Amino acid sequence: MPENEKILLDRCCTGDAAAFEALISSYQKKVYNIAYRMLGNIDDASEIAQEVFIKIFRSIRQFKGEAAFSTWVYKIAVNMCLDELRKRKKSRSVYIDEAVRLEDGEVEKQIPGEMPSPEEMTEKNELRGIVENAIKLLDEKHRCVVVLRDIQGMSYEEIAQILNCPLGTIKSRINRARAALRDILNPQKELFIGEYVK
Amino acid sequence: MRGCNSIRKLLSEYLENSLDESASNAVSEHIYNCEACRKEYLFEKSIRENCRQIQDVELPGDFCDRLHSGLMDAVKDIQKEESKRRIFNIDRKRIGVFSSVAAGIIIFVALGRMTGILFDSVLKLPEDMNKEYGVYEKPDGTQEMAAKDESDSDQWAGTENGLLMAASQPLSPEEQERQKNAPRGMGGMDQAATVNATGGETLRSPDMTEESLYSIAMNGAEAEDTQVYIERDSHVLIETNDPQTAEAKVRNIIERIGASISDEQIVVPRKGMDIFIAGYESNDARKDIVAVLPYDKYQLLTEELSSMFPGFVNNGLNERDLTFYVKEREQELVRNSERIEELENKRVNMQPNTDVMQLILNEIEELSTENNEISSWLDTVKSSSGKVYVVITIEPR
Repeated sequence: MPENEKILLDRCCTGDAAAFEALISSYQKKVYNIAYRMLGNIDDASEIAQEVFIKIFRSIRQFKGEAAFSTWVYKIAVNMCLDELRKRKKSRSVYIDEAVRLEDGEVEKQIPGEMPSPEEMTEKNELRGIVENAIKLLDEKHRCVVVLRDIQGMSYEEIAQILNCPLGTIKSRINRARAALRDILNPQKELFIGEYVK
Repeated sequence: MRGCNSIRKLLSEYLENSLDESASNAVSEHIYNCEACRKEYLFEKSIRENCRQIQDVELPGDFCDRLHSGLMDAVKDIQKEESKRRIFNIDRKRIGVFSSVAAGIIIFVALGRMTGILFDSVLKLPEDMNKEYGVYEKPDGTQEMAAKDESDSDQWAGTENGLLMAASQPLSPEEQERQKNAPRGMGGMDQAATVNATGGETLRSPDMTEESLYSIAMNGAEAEDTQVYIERDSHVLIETNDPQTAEAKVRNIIERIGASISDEQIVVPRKGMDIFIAGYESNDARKDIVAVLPYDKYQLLTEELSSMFPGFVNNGLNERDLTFYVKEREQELVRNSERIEELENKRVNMQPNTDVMQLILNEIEELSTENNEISSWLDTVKSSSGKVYVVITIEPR
């Protein structure tokens, strides 16, 4: 752990909020983005990221320095996102097909993350949009590793620490997550290949 | 010469440059010659590149301000807690019987998800409960239980977890009569600080009154007493104005019925660890605890809760549900462990064929439960005594 981080950490343990804000300034954006990719919308991401940092502040004395501070931060962030997704799963399963009542009538509730049609997506930057939407369709376990590995670029070792899993489990989970992503994107396969064979 | 299927399984690692030289060469050669596999490679490559190009979104404009204000609130809360602790430390010296008190609280204890686990360490009840947690005669003639480590002089001097908080002054004859009639636990120590569920009447000790006044001063609302329920889906709900005492009691119960407690950050049951305090204290009003207990201890748990918390209501698992869970889980575990053993044998025999190994590991992992990672699960299954355990989760709502 860098010396300046250690000094800030010591001050945080005495309840120094300013030191804490300095300490976490470099993690805010990443935590927010992990939450955004995991939860799929910015409002929930903002809410959870706030909760993550408050929780970290309150429990900072529990950080024992066994892993990097960043890993501990991301571990709490990922766990809180997974908790949130689990809670949603419980509450949403009842309402998934429920129609939404609007002032001017009743409309079908759209299932989030629906894929755009291939015709709508032809430009290269729109391929990213297709991938982003496809990631939202992955189950939470797979989405989590794709976000950490393929979007955030974390190492297998760090992901293993964050998820508290053996390296082998993480590797196989990432493989399966990528296979699941390929399956979702398969109907648009030619678009992706077209990037290279124009 | 490798076939298309085996090449495609290597594409992911090929793209990460993590294959050894010969495997990497084999893939290069194959995708050069095989159009179908080349397309798969390009597809995979494009997905991966598009993932990498997904840009981070900026923090909302008010993020830092909101966080600052949240932190200020947290600082105030922490100061408040510390100031309470100091005051009560003084009170302890003065009165000798105070336990620390925290703000208006609900602790949710979720006997969660009923995840069965095979543990190779068999949890045992203490051989002699009275030896471990002796029952002591109080000066007023009632009995009280104290933790085993307390010295005799401390047993009446008020413990950190507040178990003896109501025992300092003699009770009125009416209160003694009520206590005799009310359900009693190992020590019946909660009598004077508990709302009686049937009558709804509050019984307070002189200490509790002072404690409540303090709580009112700190929280601006009248403190409520402790009430415990087990609800339909096996959530143990404890409502209390004194979470430290309640938590201490829950811990005490869990320990007494045959498990130990260990503070951990992450809720992943692992071999040899029985209970996890997950530390999801995002506010003062809740705490997550994961405890691993055998199914057959469920009954004991309800009995203990019932005796420790008078007015306890059990709307949770009944005997029939429990039998069903146990049977279903046992059968599932037997099926899975047989299958895992079979797969493990295959895996061992097939080393070092990594492809087959990987497939088998994948299948094994699919057999594991959501919260129970495969490595620990495999370990426990392989060396298990065959007992079935349940996970208790104390989780936030």
